[in-house]
Amino acid sequence: MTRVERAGNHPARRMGSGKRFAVGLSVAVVCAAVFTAGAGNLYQYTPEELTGPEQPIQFNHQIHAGATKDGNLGIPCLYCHGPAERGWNATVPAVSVCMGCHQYIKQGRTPGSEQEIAKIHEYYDKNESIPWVRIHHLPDYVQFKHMRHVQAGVQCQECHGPIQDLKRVYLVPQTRYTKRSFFLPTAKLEMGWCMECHLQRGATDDCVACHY
Amino acid sequence: MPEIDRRDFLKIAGLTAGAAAVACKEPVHNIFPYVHQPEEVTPGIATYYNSMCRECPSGCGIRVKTREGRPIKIDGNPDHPLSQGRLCVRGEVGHMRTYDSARFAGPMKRGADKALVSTTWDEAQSLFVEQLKKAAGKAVFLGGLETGTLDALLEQVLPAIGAKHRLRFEPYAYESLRTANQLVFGTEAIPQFKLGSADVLVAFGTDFVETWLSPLSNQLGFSQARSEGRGYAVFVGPRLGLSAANADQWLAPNPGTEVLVALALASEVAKRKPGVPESLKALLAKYTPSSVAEKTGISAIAFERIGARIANADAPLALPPGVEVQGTNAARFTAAVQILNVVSGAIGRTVVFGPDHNLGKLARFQELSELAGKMRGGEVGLLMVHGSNPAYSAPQVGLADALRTGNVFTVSFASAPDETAELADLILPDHTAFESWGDAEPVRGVRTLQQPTVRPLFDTRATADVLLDAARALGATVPAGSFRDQLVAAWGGRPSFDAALGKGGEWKDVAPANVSVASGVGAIDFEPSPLAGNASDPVLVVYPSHHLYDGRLTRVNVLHEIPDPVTKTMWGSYAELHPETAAVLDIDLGDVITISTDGGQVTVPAFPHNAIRPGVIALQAGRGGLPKDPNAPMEPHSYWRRNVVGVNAFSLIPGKLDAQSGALAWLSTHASVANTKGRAPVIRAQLTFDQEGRNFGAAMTVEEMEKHGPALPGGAGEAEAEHPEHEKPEHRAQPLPKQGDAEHLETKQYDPAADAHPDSPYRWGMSIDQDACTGCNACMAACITENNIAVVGPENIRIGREMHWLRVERYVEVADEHEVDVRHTPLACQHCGAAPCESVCPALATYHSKEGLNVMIENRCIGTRFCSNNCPYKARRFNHWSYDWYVPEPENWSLNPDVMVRAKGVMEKCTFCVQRINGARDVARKEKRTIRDGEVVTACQQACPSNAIVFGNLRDPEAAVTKLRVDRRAYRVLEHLYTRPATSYLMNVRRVEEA
Amino acid sequence: MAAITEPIPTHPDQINDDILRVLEPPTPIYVLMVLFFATLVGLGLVAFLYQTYWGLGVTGLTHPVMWGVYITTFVFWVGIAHAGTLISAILFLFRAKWRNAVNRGAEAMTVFAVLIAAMFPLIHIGRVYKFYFMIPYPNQRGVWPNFKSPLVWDLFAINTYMLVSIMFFYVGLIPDLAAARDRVRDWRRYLYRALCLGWRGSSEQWRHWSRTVLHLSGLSTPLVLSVHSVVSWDFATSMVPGWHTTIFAPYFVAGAIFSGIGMVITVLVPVRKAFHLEGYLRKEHFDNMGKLILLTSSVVGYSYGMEYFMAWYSANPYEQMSFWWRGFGYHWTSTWIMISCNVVSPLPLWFKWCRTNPLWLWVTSIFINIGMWFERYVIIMTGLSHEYDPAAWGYYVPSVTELTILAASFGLFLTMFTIFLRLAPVVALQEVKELWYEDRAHAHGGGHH
Repeated sequence: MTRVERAGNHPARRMGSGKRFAVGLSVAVVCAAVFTAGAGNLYQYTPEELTGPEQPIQFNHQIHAGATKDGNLGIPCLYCHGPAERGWNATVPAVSVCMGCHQYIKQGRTPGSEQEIAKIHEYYDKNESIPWVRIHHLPDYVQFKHMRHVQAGVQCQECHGPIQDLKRVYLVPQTRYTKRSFFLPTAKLEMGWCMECHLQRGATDDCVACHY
Repeated sequence: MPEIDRRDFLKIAGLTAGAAAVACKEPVHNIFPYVHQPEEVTPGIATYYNSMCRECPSGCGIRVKTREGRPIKIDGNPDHPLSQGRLCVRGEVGHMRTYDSARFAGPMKRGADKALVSTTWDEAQSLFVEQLKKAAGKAVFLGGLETGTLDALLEQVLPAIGAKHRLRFEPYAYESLRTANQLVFGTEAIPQFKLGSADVLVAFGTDFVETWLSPLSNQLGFSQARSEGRGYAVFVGPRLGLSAANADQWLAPNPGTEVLVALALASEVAKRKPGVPESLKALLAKYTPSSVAEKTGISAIAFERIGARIANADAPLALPPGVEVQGTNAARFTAAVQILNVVSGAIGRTVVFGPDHNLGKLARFQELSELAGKMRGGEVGLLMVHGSNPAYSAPQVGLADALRTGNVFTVSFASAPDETAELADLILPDHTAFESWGDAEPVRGVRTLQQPTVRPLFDTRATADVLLDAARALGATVPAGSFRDQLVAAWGGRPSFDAALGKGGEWKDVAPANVSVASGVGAIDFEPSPLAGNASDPVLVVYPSHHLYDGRLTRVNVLHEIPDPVTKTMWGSYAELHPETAAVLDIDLGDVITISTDGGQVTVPAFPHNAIRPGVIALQAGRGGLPKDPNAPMEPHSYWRRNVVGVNAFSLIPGKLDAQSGALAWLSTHASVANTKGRAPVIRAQLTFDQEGRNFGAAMTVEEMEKHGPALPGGAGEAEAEHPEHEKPEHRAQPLPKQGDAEHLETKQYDPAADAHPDSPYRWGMSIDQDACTGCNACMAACITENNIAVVGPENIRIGREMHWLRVERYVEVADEHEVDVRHTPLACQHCGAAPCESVCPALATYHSKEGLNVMIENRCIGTRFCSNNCPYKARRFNHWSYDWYVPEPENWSLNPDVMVRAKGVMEKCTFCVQRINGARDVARKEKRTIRDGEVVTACQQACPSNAIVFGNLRDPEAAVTKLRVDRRAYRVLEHLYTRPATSYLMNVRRVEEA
Repeated sequence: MAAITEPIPTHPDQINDDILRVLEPPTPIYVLMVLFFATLVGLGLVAFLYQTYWGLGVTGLTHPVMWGVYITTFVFWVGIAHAGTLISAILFLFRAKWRNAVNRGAEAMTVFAVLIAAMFPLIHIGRVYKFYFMIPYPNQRGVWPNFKSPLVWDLFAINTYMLVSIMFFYVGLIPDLAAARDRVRDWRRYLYRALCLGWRGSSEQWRHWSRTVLHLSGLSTPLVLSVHSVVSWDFATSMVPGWHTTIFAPYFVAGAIFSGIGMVITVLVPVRKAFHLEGYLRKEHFDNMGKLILLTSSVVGYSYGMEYFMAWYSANPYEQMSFWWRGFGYHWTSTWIMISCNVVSPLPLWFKWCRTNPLWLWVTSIFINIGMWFERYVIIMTGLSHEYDPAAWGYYVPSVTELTILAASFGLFLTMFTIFLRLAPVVALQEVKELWYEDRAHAHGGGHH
């Protein structure tokens, strides 16, 4: 009643401002969404991770495990990582295992290999362990058992990538987009990444299978 | 969860200790492979070794679980006759003494300023030799119970190094028993007391479940003799201790007059039983119930009833007195008990000579005090102390003062600091039991081998080798080679040695020997033990600690944190006295009182409770040892590392001896008690022993049990499944426990096997027999070591923050001359089918697994703690701090790599040992089958010395647990809340004395 | 209309002058007050960081009492947050005229209280850095929260309530912000310009505005009931003796309104005095609020009685034991503080003199605040400390950390409120003007229907 006297300005302007605001807001929201999704994907891999850390001995998986047709030795994984099929850990072989061959093979094909092989002898003679740097590392609250997966016929490469062709080991990046997570990306050795495979193969999805 | 990545370290790290330091630090994770990998070891797979437990002289066989060369779990050796695959609370945590962070890192000697400084072995060895030379034959070797080959070797070596005199000192040396047997049977041997075949048991202050003789096999036999309501036990003594709590009748005569009770019972039995030797008849005629009733304060009728029981029994057994009731008449008292055994016909039936306990060589307490005298007299030049701690456990003899005089050069072989080592001039640390070789024959015919299960953590040497080298240095002729070589030789060379090693030893039956009553027994005059001090004061009763034995385990935190089985107190000493006595002395719970005798004086908080006779004040021996690590860093939970916990009750016992046996008279004086009006917290796990009629611990009489007939066949699952509810009003044999004054609270029927996924072959469940349970806490110790449960220390426990997944609740219904009804309820997560905790967790951190487990995913937990509030069993525990921050190296090496270490802010609880379930599944899957019954054994079940716990699959109708669930004694705790618990209990059986 | 004791303004413009007086530069006392409250907040922040680093060990929480001061305070502030919506929404719909003067203050209070309440679950949980496990958001794990859990219901209830009440508050504020914009000349005018969204006061804007207010109040009315019911289900859906009761929802809602009105009085009486708003916050307003207090106080009192009756009548030993401990056990003091504050102290309000005496009302309101905090404390403590298993009984004593954070919550509330006083008119201009015009129309015989 009393308010009618009060003057107001033209409706059209206000409408316009409202539209602009709405458009701006929606654009901002979309950008934010895209960014978070992207970030979730990108933060995973530092360049260091993509080359793998410097190891005490430059062990070359390609020469040892690579395909024989390419002139490599093609040693089966389980020859050195035997416990993978009967134990929790694939384990790095004992120095004595390396020495099994390398007490005879002192000179490799690649340049500089003799120094590297010499290191093995050095450690062995000093009766010292080789401080390999760990790459595939799960947190304390994940109980991962290699044997269950090997026995189920999972290939090493499915988790470790084309390890037989790596000159230096690193966590080969792989990202999956899983339905359960509304197509959010999950990186290798993350839970979603494990679960994706578990569900596809009808393996257990019980939390307590891995967390205890 | 925790940033300190201990598990990976344990799983991957090799044996190099140097590696250890590096590998458990973030962020670089290293993998240290073996250089030469032992063929039996695969990283990530546990290796088991048979060995022998050295936490007390009973020498049980153990099976040590090691991961990457580190013992992480101790269990009984199933093949061993003494342990039969079970283990006691002390044995379960024995390896923690090896992982003691404050052990001697190497040899030490007195420096210029009389302070201990570390030195090298060469230097120490030479110093030792030179001192031996100086001592010139005046050396004394004060050992503990060195056994088997070591014992034999010492016999050879000690003379060679001029130690003519040798003592084997143990605080509980059974002198009185040996002398009594000498008096009654003419032999010093300590026979087998076969509790397993005794249908009526009378114990005279014998703590047969705690420490007496061979506690583990005692308990095995005890529970076996009492299965399904059989057996009857009477306890005579001032205290309703753990053993007494498991008896059915408790006579508490005036302290000192227990001997008369034994004689009165004997005379009652003699009246009723034929074939009693005349000499005894005459003797016993003097001790009719009526004649002793007034002196002992026990009604004559009680004697007659019990006497009748014994007389009518097939295999009665009277147990010789334990230390807590042996006074200056110890030997004669024990003789009286043996006489009771004679007249009741127990000798040869339940008391078997022949396969004797090998404790005969132990020194009598008298000899120790004589030694102290010699030392003061300067007759001793050098004292070697090994495997015993007399400065702590025998303060009466004044050994400490004698050492302080300084004219004795003392060499200690202790591997960790103790009171005697504190006084030593030279410390040559020995390996701990888990690092060293050895063997023993605790019972004749049972030869047990002990092998190292971890490489020595510190720069220690086997004492035998030290002595051998010393002898060689002195030019004496001693056997060549190391102690291990001697050992191998003693076991007949490699092949047989290795065979024995695999088995854990070798055992053969020893023919029982016949004994006859010696003449002159009738001549013994039996007198009550006189008590010094003011008669109006309470009588001082000092009793051995169930957890710490004689104090040798005082450095194991876990044992301080497990509640005492009787008082449910932790972390310290508490003066126990009856509320009446407390009222008379004007003492309240938690008042700080001073107790003084001729022996000494201590100041402790008072703990009045009903499980003790009026006019008595009791203290537990074995507490109040040296602080674990006085230099421990200041941290929220390092209080108990830096400070003394409790008081040394040994110091209160005056040095009176029993003339005949030379034993220390433990029960020999009144103690004057003064209330300092100070207050101290009484750290308790349980605030009340009254269960308000809520039937956590339920019971039924033998008659009721018979009424319900035998257990139902088949699984409850099927039984429930085929009839709908309305068709089976009370088809279940077992009675539903009445819930206090709420009988009207309806208990719904349900199918326990249904609480799992339809496709799952399993629904895990547990059954706990409360009648078998003695409340000995072995299960708690096992659970703690298996599941990495944190020690939180007194500051937290005081306000109730203990982390035990499994607790043993104690409820006292009746405890008097007519009946003892004390109920022990081991309570862990019940893995309810309709778990109240699951529905309230916002993060879905706890849920019901497909196999019916109530699962807790700690790393998903955000710590709203609603689950704990909503759990009617209060089985959940919360990590108020990051307890793993306060575990120093190398104590964390004992952690189980298969179970995560929980960080602060998360809830945790019993998992039914899911790591073991999954382990069994790995095997089953590989063999393409389901898990068999008995394949999964939880840690508590594995430890339980009375086989009270059974675990299994409720969906398997043939499984033991399924059958037990519908046993006539079966019931579920708080079942009327309809939580559908997976754990069912078997009721206590009240063996009510027919009135 | 009830007897008018203060002079009513003679002209609408005088209303502006009176009320917008708050926008004049602050006095030193005011600054000191703000600083003092802010210091409390600072202390609380330190305590919280300390707790986050060391873990909940620094609190008195223990087994079996896993909930303590934090949850108590959470429920308390949620309760406080009810008055605003009640006054502005429900009374608005009922056309209760007297609300107009107080609703602005009440709404502001609501917003601040609910903001604080929302913080406490986070302070309370063991791993605050993992709080997002409670929130349903797409994640690579594919794990979702447990929608069966009352705590998740809470999350939704509280957030909804927070958003709606903030919106309601802000919308109501727009015209006054415009008025303030036209008045102040310093930096604040940019603030007001931005905030009042180009309000010109055209009839069209007024129409939209009043529609919006109407709809929002319709929207928030059910929330008044729903929010605290949901909070009460945190307890009622559990099986803790003393918690597991069907009366909890109405009981909690009544309690919430009770404490809410209490807090309104606690803050408005000093404001009225400080800014000489006697003409607007009139005695009849207090009179009405007093009546509301009487009503809710009796409902709460009845509930207390009912709890004990049910404990006895159910013949459930656990309930009976629990309530015995509540009345005469370790926490008896808390219980009797609660009863005397909530049931006894409001009784004098049956007399009009007490109701219309701001000082008396103010003192009573303080008691009510205390009493209502203790009500929640008692329910939580006594329920948890004596549950089913006698062997697992235990006690709880709050720690310094917890009490510091409790104090800080009040500090934060008062800081926000005092600052708000200087930024916006504490009495809604247009509403009192409406009143004024209507009164005048009334006086001129023009009937108002």
